[in-house]
Amino acid sequence: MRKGARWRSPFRAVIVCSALALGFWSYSKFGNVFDYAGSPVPHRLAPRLDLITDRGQQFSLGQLRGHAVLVYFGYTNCPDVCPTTLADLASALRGLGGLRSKVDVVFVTLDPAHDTPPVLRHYLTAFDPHFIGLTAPPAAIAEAAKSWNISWKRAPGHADYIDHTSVVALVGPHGYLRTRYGVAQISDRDGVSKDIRHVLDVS
Amino acid sequence: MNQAAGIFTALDLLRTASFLAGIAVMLLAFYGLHDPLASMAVYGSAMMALNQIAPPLLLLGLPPEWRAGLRRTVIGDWLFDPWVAFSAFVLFTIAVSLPGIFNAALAHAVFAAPLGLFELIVGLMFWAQLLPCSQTITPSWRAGLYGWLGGTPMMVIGLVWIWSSHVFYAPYLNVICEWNITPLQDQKWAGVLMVIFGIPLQLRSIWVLSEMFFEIR
Repeated sequence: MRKGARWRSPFRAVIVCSALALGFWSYSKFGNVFDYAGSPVPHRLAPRLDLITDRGQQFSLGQLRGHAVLVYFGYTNCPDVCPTTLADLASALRGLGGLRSKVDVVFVTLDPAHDTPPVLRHYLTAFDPHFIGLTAPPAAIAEAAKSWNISWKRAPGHADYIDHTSVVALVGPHGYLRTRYGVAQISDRDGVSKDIRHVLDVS
Repeated sequence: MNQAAGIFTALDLLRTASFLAGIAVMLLAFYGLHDPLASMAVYGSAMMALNQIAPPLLLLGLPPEWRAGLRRTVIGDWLFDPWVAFSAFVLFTIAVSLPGIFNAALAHAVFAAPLGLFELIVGLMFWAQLLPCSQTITPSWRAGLYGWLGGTPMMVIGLVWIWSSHVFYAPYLNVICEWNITPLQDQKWAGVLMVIFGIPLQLRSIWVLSEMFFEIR
């Protein structure tokens, strides 16, 4: 065996692993400065939400400028993730004290045939009477869900159930998307509260 | 009748079938990665298929002389170096499978990369050391030990997912309702599937390792 050839492979392994580790570390250090407990989202204006409120009034996201808005798509017959998420949101908002009046939660139904405005109002009041329910004809709901990157479909074998992306989007006071929370992140009450304060402070 | 006569032998047919099956697994896995309602179990299965199922099928689908020639280029010499393959495979397995142990930014970095492609590449690098013609470790039983050691972190991580009482992948779980299971249950199922997908590597390693007894005799 040639002198040095014995150590060539371990030396290569060290180089490759160092390069991989350095790449990950560099990205985490320099390429991804993100101060939220939620996950990053593209910096862009939030998509439109021109729907009908659970009080029968026309709604657009622009009406809530100056507020932090948490947007969630679900349906009232949802057996698990929707009520859990709304309960977590209500809990996070209770920890905001005086800032609570500057925060809105918007719940968009994916099941407009069942979730009429009165049904929505009754459902949301159980979590927080200030939550805003939104509905519209199915085509408008489908369009809104698509623009917010919400995937959904009727659950096979369960006509009342809908499989859907469960993501809460946080929109800043100027209407820009700031972060989003998956199902396992939204239970982090302190993290969500901190993000809301951050959005209201820096915007 | 043989190849010289322009006719495929049974082995050639098997090889072609293996390669096509590898391509099919790859396509299915990449499709699974893009399902917006996929759970962690589905996502993990797609990753494991790219890392553990497609590589041996693709490698076995290559003619032996091609497999033997994997190291003849400069890049191939590096990629199919057993030390490089082992360390990249183990490091990548741990970095990808347990992002919860690192900070969130690092987890984002791992998931921002074309992860499926990396899974396929490190899977090919590692499996090449366990298959005839591309295997460079001698004696053969050492390759079995190599495969068993390299595959162990993957199996341990699968067991960690199964037994963990908290969710590692919080930022990446957006859907729980496809099968009406919680994120923790989803993670447990992902662990079960990871262990199942890891079994072929364990079996192959044991098979190669068992050659020690034949060599001694």
